[in-house]
Amino acid sequence: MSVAQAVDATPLKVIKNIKFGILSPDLIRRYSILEITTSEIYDEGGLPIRGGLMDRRLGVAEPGGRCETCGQSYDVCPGHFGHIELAKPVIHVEFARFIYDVLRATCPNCGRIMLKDEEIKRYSERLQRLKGRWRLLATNLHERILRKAAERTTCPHCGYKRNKVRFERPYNFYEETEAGALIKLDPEVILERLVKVPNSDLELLGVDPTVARPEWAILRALPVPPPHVRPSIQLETGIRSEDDLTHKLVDIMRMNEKLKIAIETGAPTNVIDNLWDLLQYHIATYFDNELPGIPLAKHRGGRPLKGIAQRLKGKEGRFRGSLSGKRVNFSARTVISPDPNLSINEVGVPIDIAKVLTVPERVTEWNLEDLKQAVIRGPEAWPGANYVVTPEGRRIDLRYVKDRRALADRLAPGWIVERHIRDGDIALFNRQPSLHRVSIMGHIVKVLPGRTFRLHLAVCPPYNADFDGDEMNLHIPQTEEARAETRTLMLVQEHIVTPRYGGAIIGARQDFIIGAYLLSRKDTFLAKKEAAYLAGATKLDADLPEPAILHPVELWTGKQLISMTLPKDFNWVQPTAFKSTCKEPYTCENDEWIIVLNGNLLTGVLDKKSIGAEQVDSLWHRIARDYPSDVSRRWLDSSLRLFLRFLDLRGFSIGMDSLHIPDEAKREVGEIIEDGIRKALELIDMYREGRLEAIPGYTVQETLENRLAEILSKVRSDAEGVVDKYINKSSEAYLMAKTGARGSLTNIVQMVATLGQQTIRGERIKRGYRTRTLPHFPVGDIGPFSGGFVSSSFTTGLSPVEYFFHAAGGRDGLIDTAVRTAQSGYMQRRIINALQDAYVAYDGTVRYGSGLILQLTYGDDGVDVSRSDHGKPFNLRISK
Amino acid sequence: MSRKALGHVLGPVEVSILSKEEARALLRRLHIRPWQLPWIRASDPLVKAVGAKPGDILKIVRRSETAGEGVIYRLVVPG
Repeated sequence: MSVAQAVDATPLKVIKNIKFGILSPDLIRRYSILEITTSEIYDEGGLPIRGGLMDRRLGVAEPGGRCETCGQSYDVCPGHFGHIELAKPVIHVEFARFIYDVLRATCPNCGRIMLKDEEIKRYSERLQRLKGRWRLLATNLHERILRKAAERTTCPHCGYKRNKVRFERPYNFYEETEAGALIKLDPEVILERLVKVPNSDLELLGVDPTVARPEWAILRALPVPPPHVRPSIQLETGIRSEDDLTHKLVDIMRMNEKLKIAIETGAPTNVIDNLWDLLQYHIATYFDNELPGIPLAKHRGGRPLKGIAQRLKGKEGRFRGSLSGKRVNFSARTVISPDPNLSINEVGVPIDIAKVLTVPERVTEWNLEDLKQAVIRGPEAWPGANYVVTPEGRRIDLRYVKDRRALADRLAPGWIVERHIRDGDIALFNRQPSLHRVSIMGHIVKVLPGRTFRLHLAVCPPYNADFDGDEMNLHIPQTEEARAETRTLMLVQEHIVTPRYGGAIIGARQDFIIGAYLLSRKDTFLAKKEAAYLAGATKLDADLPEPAILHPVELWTGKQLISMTLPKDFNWVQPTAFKSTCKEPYTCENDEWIIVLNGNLLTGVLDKKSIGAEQVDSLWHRIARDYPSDVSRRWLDSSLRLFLRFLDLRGFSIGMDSLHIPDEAKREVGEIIEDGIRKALELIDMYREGRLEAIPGYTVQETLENRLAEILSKVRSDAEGVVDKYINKSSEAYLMAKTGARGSLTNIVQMVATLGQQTIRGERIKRGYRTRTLPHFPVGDIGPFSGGFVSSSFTTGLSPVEYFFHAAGGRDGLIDTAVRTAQSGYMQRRIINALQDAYVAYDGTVRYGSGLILQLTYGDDGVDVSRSDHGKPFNLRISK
Repeated sequence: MSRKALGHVLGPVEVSILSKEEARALLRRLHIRPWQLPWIRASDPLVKAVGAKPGDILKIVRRSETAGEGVIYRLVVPG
């Protein structure tokens, strides 16, 4: 794209306002190029019949043909409208409500609005005043006027006593006589009434009579769109298949012809009425085939026809499907899988994909040789090229070039080569649902063997990705500007800090955390070979420091290796998750406090609290905030590789012995459970005997449930205390829970002690049979076990009944998540649509598209949260 | 009407009607026309409490979680 191409000669016009009106029969006829006179489309020879729905004068929608009206070919001529003269008028369904409003508000005899002269005067003055400044309020007033006029039964102008008009969806109108009988109002009668309404009265109802006379809402002529709107498809077998709209128009034409004949031959009125009604039905379903209260119009095959409304509506409709959503080139999609050896900035791209995605590169003196080689390698070998664009703008597809070497020789500065993507190219990486800006980030391409996209595990949280089959999309920016923006604004390292609250969203997790903990432990010593191997994993250009222990063998501590990765001017003190005995960092001797002095990790173990994501005031938070993004990215890359490589060396696994607790602990847990059950049973006895007093605001049953829930949840938390006391502090399960790598104490308790209470919708399990949850319990049992209390643990195993309750609770959780995501998704859609025009102006005010002020200062304090420290402004002098 | 709307712990700290000059200065400062301010109905208890009429601009000072106090101006509209 050159700059010259970007200049557009089209004069700039600004839309000042849009006015919607109704197409009048007169306009329909004047727009029309011809009247459709026959329901036949093609003759025996397969040629369009003149006066039929595919008449060549309407335009031609397929290549080769010429429009008989303007003589242009199909890609120039947009087609011309025709029309059908209806034998009898028919109501336009989309305007039925409007017709009803006008009928209700006006006199059937004289056509005046049902308001006294002084009311008319008062209202129109009020409207006049509102019109200039308060458009919204004028709409309200129109509604009030309508209601007022509709209430009146005697016309103040001619004294006519009118009957009430009833509207039956979607298009039937009746008049209710005093006797209670319903008389059908046919479109002709309604038309007569609407014609009588004077323009001045319409203005009171909020109708602009110059563009929307009410009688125009009744169709007397039906516009027929050109074939371009309803193109027919030629199947491979040579059979023509017409568009749904054409089918519908044929139905309308047939009905219209029948009706016309019936009228001309003087058929009985009920026959005419029936045909008329059918014509009304066909025209209504032509506009909208999902009208409530009437049957769907169907194909012979039984498939419902698509009306005009169906083309526009919904997710795949014209607006959401074709205008707001578009399909793009230079994109790829495949399954994702993890690769901790990549940088967080990178994305692994399969070779097969790299051979399809291209970047246009302009040939210069300096890349001439490189691009020549790429052209020679062609589309099949990576890194090759797929297209060459000559300076004249001719695109040469390399798939069909016989002698690529000859073409490569012609290559000269000024040509453009669309070469395969290579390592170092920039790409956009995305995972749906794209809920926030970090759902699409810039990644640097790394072409790898295999068939999946590879990404670093630390960037899973912003995408909310896991590897259970998730797929992601990749887009290759095609212009220099787009590439520059992607690199400077969208690259992953620029999004380590989330705009939500100014904390890191990317950080160490799971294996990295446990690895970091084990490496940073006091008892971790590494021989020279190991230390060098791990130092290599950091990919830093640094030498090993002097070993901590020199004799009898040289040994390095894990902390020394971690210190190698830290910035040399970094100082930091924070407590670890193991803080228990020490209150003060500088006197602590058991690694409970982290102290970093000039980039040296002196004491303390690393855990989730210090290097995890989303941790306030942590080591990683400080690095991410206080250093440039490339420094913090490099630290994360190298330290995470280091932690993981150490974990590989050392090994880490969990087994039954990690879940061992002494018999003493088992006894204590058993006592706690028994105690809880006893208390629960006592409570139930009290309830049965009527001795249970209700807590204010609750019924006795609710009181019982609350108290039971309290007792039974206490069982689990008490068991947690016991497990915490007795469990082997160096067991893998405990270390994972404590460091925050994975799982919690609750999970351990569920494995070794008891599962505790299972719940559905936050309550004990109550459903099942009429008087009990399962047939394994006595009738009327409301005890802890029939209510879903599971005393077994995963190690002891669950009884069938317990297993059932556990499954029920688990299923409830799944359903809950599914429901919540659906609800919040829709909420998000609506809030995005509502707020998409809001922006922070240069004066700090928050404004809407039309310049409306939403806030005088962004967030009342003017703080850009993404530049703040966990929501709090920093190094900012507030002057008042 | 009732003055309950004023002085309530959950209500605004301060509500006042801008004078003609103040209003003009405000609109000039923000480069806007009156209708581009947030609206408040004349039937709103707050408007009734201070006795403002349609066309007036109210200065409303509210407690703010982020800034302690936040100021917003609202245009009184009929209704």
